[in-house]
Amino acid sequence: MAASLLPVTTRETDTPAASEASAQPSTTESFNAKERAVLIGWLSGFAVLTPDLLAVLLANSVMLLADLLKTASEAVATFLSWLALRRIRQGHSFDYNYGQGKLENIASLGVAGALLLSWFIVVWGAVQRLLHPTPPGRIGMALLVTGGSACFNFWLWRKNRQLARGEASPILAAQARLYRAKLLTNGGVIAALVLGFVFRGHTWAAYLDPLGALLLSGVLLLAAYRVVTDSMDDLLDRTLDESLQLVILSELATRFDEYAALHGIRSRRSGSHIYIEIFMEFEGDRRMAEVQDLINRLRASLEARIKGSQVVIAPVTAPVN
Amino acid sequence: MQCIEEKQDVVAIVGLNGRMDAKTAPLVQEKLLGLIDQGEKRLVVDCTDLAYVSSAGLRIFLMAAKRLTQNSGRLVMAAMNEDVKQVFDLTGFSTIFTICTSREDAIGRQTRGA
Repeated sequence: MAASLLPVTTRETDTPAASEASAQPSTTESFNAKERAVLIGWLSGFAVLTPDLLAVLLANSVMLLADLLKTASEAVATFLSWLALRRIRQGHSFDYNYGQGKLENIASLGVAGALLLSWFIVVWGAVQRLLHPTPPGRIGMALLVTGGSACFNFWLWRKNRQLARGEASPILAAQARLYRAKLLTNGGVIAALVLGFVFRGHTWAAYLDPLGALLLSGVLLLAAYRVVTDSMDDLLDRTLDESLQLVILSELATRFDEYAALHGIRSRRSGSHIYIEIFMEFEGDRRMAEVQDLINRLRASLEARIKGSQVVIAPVTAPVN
Repeated sequence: MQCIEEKQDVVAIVGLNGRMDAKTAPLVQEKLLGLIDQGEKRLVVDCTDLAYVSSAGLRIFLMAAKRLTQNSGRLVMAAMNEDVKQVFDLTGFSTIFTICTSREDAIGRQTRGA
């Protein structure tokens, strides 16, 4: 009864996640939706580059220049994420039994790299402008483009967040963070442009653009940090977090009298998949059918409580490290 | 984490001092399973100074309990603090372990059972 007090937990991202079993026919639709969302992401990223460039030239804004470079690097990173998803959808599980899911983590690191590059560009540009302040130029085009970008980024953020709620996908989680960061950047750019224009008669107004850029650089850095920390643990095959380990142990405690010995437990993630291996010993005089029945019940119970998990229970007679 | 071992009559007592997590659990594993392999059948784990136990620690206790059961032995836990007791309750370990509120109770229980 105490075991039932433990929640059915999943990996913590920004939002609750459910199971993604890309190999299972029943989740093909959700996987395709995820792939479409990422496709829209990089297509839209490349689509806004030209109007963004025009806005930069007209407004003479370091913040807009940084935003342009950031958008370009993010579009490339999103494109890499889409390629990873395509590869996953096309199979290759026979070539990489466990590594398939790690493509998502690697793609997420690409997204983090884009965010870090963007941070560097923004900081460099802002420092240069602080040292050599320049009054703002024409901002009409910039406001139009940035406003449109903000609306689109808001839609992409909500869409990816909604998909991330139904999946345990590192890519979607990284994408949601990316679009949230982009949305905040858009808001900062609009605010700096408007204030710079309104107070353009004041000398200090020339510093609004670079100061705004520096503030936004913190957002970029934080987003990159979170994406990296989320992905690196899984790439290094870190064992499941404590809450899920306790779920496994509670199941073993519930069935304490049904096996002779516990010789080891291993666990790890690969993308949105969770792999759990339990090594148990059974009494020598038990029939194989009884042992198989216990294995099936334990596996079913664990896979129901830990979303996205695949549980293997191996009968052994010696400790496993 | 320190493991302090002592013997009273037929009861082997292992006192745990510190935190039992993924780093320190192997030390306790070596101590507990080593005692069981040496033939000890009545074990008391004194948790008076055990500040925290993680899933790694619980796994060791489970392994030790199963191995003792196979050898017709028994493991009794003693003097857990609230945090450790809560973890045992949440995972259902309270139903498979005998838990005494004090070290003396645990030793007495194991002695009477001899």
